[in-house]
Amino acid sequence: MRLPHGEVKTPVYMPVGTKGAMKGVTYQEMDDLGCKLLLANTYHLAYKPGGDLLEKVGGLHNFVNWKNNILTDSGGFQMVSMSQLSEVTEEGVTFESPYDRSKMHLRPEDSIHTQNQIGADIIMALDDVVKTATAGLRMQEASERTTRWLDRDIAAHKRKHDQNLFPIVQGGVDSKLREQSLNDLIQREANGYAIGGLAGGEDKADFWKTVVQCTTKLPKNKPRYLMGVGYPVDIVVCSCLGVDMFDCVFSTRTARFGTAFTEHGFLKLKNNEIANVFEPIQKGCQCQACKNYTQSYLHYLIAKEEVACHLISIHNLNYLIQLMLNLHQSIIDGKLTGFVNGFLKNWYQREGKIPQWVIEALEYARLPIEQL
Amino acid sequence: MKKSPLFIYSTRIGAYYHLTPFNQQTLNLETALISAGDFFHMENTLKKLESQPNMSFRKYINQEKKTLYMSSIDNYKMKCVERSSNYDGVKITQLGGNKFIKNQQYNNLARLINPDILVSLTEQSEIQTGYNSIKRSAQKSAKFLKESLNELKDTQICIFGAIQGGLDIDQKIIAAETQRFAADYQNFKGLTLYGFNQEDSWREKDMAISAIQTVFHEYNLQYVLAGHGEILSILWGISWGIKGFEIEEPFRFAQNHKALLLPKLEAKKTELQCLSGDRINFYELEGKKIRFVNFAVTSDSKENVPIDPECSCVVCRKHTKLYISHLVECKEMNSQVLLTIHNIHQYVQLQQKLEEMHNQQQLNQWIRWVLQQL
Repeated sequence: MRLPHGEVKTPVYMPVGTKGAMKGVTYQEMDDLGCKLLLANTYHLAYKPGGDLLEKVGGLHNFVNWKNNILTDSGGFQMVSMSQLSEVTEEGVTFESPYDRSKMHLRPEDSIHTQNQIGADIIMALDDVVKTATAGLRMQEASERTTRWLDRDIAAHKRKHDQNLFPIVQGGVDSKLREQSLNDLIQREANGYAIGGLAGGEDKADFWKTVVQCTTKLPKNKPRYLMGVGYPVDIVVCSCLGVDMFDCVFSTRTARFGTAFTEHGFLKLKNNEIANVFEPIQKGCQCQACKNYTQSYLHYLIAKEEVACHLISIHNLNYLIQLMLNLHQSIIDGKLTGFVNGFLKNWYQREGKIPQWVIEALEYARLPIEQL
Repeated sequence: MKKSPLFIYSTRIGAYYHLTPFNQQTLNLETALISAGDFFHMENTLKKLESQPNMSFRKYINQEKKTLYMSSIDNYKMKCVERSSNYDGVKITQLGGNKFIKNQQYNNLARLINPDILVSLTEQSEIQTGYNSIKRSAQKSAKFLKESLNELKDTQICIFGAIQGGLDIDQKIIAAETQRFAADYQNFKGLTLYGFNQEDSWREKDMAISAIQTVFHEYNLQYVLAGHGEILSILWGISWGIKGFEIEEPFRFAQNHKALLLPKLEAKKTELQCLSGDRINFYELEGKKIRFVNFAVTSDSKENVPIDPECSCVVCRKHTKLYISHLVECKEMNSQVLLTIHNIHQYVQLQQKLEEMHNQQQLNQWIRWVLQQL
């Protein structure tokens, strides 16, 4: 992808810097990790420091001093998941601010206006967000309303020349609603598309089939962004199914609880058996944590001094960024099958078995997978 | 001590607060304060570490080329040593709570850690106790010192005594007198001075340090000032010939959302020439304050400018007060990271300047010149 703040290789994992900061990791460190695109949340930034202030200082890039790309979400997800009270009408969403309990109203025009002020390279259309498991009339209403709101988003968008507006495909795991949403959104022609409404606890078979339905239909020459997905296995599989962009807070959130990503799965550094392991989290990893510290030391440091959280976050972010770069290179080199097989063999070595949904999904993608 | 002055930065389990190796790069930190209470529960691991090829303790905590200074008392952690009726040890605050530690255990830990400097285990008498209690604590500290000097004489560890007693002259003299025997030991290199934390008691501090130095005037000892490491205390201490300073102030300030603002450090030669080179008098420090930006409170912390436009730290070059203020308001931990980097940079700049002025033999003139700005 060529974006206003530089080129981004895909597939790409986008770290989440909710309020204009990656928890415990400076922007200089993010740059050092090779991160080219990260996420910020409109919902939080609209409250603090506010869209007007960000516009005044020249946008979020200037405010936080980040030279690479930024994607902002619309605020829809936080609005529904974080607010005590939210009422959705055709006009917009009325909700109670979690900060000061004041009544707030968010329309598509408001979300786009704030995102214009923030100045991200990619912005998201405001969608009517419902839980993945929602079925029936409410899901249909949400899916159809998302399309109507998209038209209002497009009309309100004042920076088409330097901000790419991505619509969000909805429909839950209902294939008919998905199909309708896909048809509606593709007609509106955008520079990229997001797949929303998944990663909400649905069955994995429904998950990957819905992803496939979307990636099959969406334009091949436009990036596809699968929202809220960030488990290593999920992003490898979905990359093979045609997804280009991912985001998830899991990598840094779980780091703060002492869990690190390795090629063999999750490593819980707080476990007592780690106390005398004098190896880095991941041999060969070039992140600060692995170059300078052992599992043993991080085991003792975690929960005692916050720098341990910073280090494990950096490791997890580096893991995902490198995973995506390696996957990208394997596609270029024509070695994707070998790469994916190697990844799965390592990841599921302890369990001894690759889950059936993974095998089925990759079979669909015509990647023959060897069971362990 | 290899460098003068030596700034000894506080750590938790050997890691500087909030500073990843990446963020330390521009700061060139050379020392680390190793708090004994952080490591007692790790003894088994540290013993296993000894048998690991290519893995020393220093490498383990990623402080390989640093000067390690090990102490039982760490001013950044609350009340880490408590007195005990048992004459063989004291209670040390550890991660599992207060535990009784014998001096033998303390010395054993020192062997595993192998610091450059070890401050002997010490006990302070309770406030407002009688003479006997004060004497007992002083004798106990002296006993610990003697045991460490004997126990560790086959190592390269430099042993420092610990002088307690607050700013009470009599207590200070008792503590110093009971440890004077140590001057005969080759591995005894100096004293760490406790109880100088009280703000604005400069006259009392003058008298207390003078009393200690009188006891040891025949010996070429090095002194370390324990405590927060406030800048005024450093300027005062340097003038009295103190060579080392325990430092936790920049971390504490960052935790409290404050950014230090040092006065100008570059003086013209002509400005120094007209100033006296005598030791700084206590009244020259009275009423002096170091400026800071309080992000939690001050309205001018919301300006879209660096903390200090003349500061060369990465935070002032890359970020603004407005951004840091936003991080503080949102309770983002990055505010503490950035403020720690800025505050430590101030200390590094100060240390470099003090070393330069020491080499030029203009320390007291320069300190006077700085104090005039405050």
